[in-house]
Amino acid sequence: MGHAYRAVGWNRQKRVYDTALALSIALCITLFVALTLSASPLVTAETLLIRSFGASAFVLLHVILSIGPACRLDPRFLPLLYNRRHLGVAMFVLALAHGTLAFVLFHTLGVLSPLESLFTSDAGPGTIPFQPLGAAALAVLFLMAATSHDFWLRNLTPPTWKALHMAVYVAYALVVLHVGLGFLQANTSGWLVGATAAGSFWLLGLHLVAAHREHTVDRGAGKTVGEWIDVGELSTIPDGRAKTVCAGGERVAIYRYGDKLSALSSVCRHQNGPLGEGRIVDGCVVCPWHGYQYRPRDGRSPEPFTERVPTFRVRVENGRVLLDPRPLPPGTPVEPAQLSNAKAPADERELYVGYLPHSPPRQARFTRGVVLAVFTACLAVVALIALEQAPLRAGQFEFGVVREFRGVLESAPHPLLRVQRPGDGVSSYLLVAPGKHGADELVRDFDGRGVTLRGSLVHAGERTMIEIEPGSLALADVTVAAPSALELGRRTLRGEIVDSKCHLGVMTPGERRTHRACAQLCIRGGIPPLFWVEDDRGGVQRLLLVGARGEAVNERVLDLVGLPLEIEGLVTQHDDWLVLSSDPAGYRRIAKEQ
Amino acid sequence: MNAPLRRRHAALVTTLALALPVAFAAAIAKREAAPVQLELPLEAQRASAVEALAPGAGTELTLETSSGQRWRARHDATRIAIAQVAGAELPDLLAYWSARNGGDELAPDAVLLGPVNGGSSERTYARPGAGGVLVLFSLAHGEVVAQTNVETR
Ligand code: HEM
Ligand code: FES
Repeated sequence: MGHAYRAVGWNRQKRVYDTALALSIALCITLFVALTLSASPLVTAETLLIRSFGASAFVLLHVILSIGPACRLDPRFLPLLYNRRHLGVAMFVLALAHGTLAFVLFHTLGVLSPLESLFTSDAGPGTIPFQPLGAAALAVLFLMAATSHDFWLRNLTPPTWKALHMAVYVAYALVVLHVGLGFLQANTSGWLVGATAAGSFWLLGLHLVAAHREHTVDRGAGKTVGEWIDVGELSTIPDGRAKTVCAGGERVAIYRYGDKLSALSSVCRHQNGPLGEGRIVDGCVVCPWHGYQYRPRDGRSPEPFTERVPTFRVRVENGRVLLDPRPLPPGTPVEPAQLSNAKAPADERELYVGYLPHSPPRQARFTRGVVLAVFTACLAVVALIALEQAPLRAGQFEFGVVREFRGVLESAPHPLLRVQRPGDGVSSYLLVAPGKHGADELVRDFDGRGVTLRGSLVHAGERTMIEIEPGSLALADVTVAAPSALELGRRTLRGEIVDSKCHLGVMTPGERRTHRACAQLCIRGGIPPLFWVEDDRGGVQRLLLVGARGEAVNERVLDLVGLPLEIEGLVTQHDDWLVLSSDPAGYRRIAKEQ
Repeated sequence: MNAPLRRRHAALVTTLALALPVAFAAAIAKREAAPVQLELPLEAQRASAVEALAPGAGTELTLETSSGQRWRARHDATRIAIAQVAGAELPDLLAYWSARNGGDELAPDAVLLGPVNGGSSERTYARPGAGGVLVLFSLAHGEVVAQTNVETR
């Protein structure tokens, strides 16, 4: 409390709570990773981490936002509220890890500054970028996590702090749209859409019900008797408990303790918790949220603490409680109303007091049951997300494995190494530089020459690429059969423009909406664009995409990358590659209904 | 919470309850189906390849690596059909036919049948001779990855 800032005070309940939290998160992530790996063994570690962190953070956000209204509806949920901040900070750490990894993976090592890429890519006609929404949500969550300590609570004052922390609902809405406009565009399972929608209905429904309940309390002021208001029968207030009424626009807690009755503001000085729902322990009112204490007769926290709440005058006439609704300055002592031989009703409820080492037994059972149920539900949702992801394509990147290659270099429209096959024929490997850069600069002086070079392989299906180790290119005496070119005719093809490097294996997934921003950055940086075409029987063809005169089209296709397209053009076979030549002005978005 | 905050909270939640479902539904409604190409463009060799072996026809052989890749090769008197059935793909994987087993090296007389298809799709090649060795060779790795004798029946 207000005495001095201390590091978070630890006790047995907090330790149990935090251990359970850490274990639950670790289990969710492990389950997600295991299920994804069993379906797609070649998925990259980055995707596993990005997705498992994102999914766990999103699920945890639902849990966090459910606790508040659940406590308004049933005080037995209060133990979850007591340490809700720890959940919030854990969720923020997961979201931060997710966002940072996605930011580094998709936006660094390119020709734009990473922030420019984050905020300008994935745009284009008819598309709404989803990653800036995630970034905005992360910024809000950051502000909340950064101000979560009581230091900020006191310096900003509880109402301002609370108002700031209400921005969590804005962050939640941003995340729902981040998921709806990103992940769910590429992962089309109805279960995923249903689960996201169900999560929103659950949360918003719970809040609306709780808000309605609160509104009813605030409306129920009593009959006025002169300057006093009649707030009801004394006999309904149990010993050690309060009745909460709304007076003068704010809530007042009228506490009965032994043969006395006192009234004080029901708004706790800490985080504005409902003092009227607390209990008298050791002669003090204990706030049900985090256990701040106040003396009922003067509204002051016991020494050495300094919190004070307004007090009110109260009296009893003919068994009815009368309250003067004008608040007295915080900490003003008021003589309690004396009760003569009136019997207080028994109070069966147990009150959880967070700073004590043990919960009352019935409460402890309830808490354990709820925690177990919530944990099981979280695991089930995480498993659902993992199982319903769209299948991940299996390209490979031999990261860190450097091999030597010999062949003849061809630099236009995109750098290729032509390698002699034993017997006859030629295989040609696309060449790229490290990061999100094409190899045009690296191969400039070697066009048409025999070379050796070192690099790492990227490959999917029959298409092979080498990420060149800069400086490893050297002239060499190599002979390769003459290039063959064969026109296969004009075709109209439906598919998607992808950046060859990610798509062939550096990233899984290296295509579709979630990868669009990265693909744009790669193609902008000179990575050859491919037109990726699939049939409905699992057949795949990946054609090198060039302009009508065989020129590179990278800068002209940026807006169309990662979207369903129809391209009419000339298909030619160059050695083992198919090349699609067509003027980008004629590339057509496939309308939704077709 | 105090009363003004409670009112602001209720207003925020009500606004979200109205706006978020609409925005989410709009996002889902604008999803686009993945494009499907009914007939794929094929390389000339593949397009003019011998007629595919009927499913289940021919004699079946298995080629394997120690790192978990497995291919199924079916052959009749004139054709061989190869498909990968397990494990990760290998880069620039080519099928060769040679008269004898060259061990770790590709025999100098080896004849290229053609590239092995990516994924699990099967590709049929003309069989160059009666008895011989079917060799899978990754050109990008520069190594023979698997081979098996193919006998005449
Ligand atoms: C700078 C901030 C962020 C960036 C750059 C970002 C980026 C991404 C990307 C690229 C994806 C698609 C991943 C894929 O399909 O492989 C994604 C998905 C997702 N994001 Fe974010 N995100 C950010 C913040 C957040 C935040 C704050 C949350 C919520 C707590 C969040 C929750 C999710 C969820 C639930 C998914 C879908 C499934 C998954 O990947 O787990 N993201 N995000
Ligand atoms: S609100 Fe935290 S103790 Fe009252």
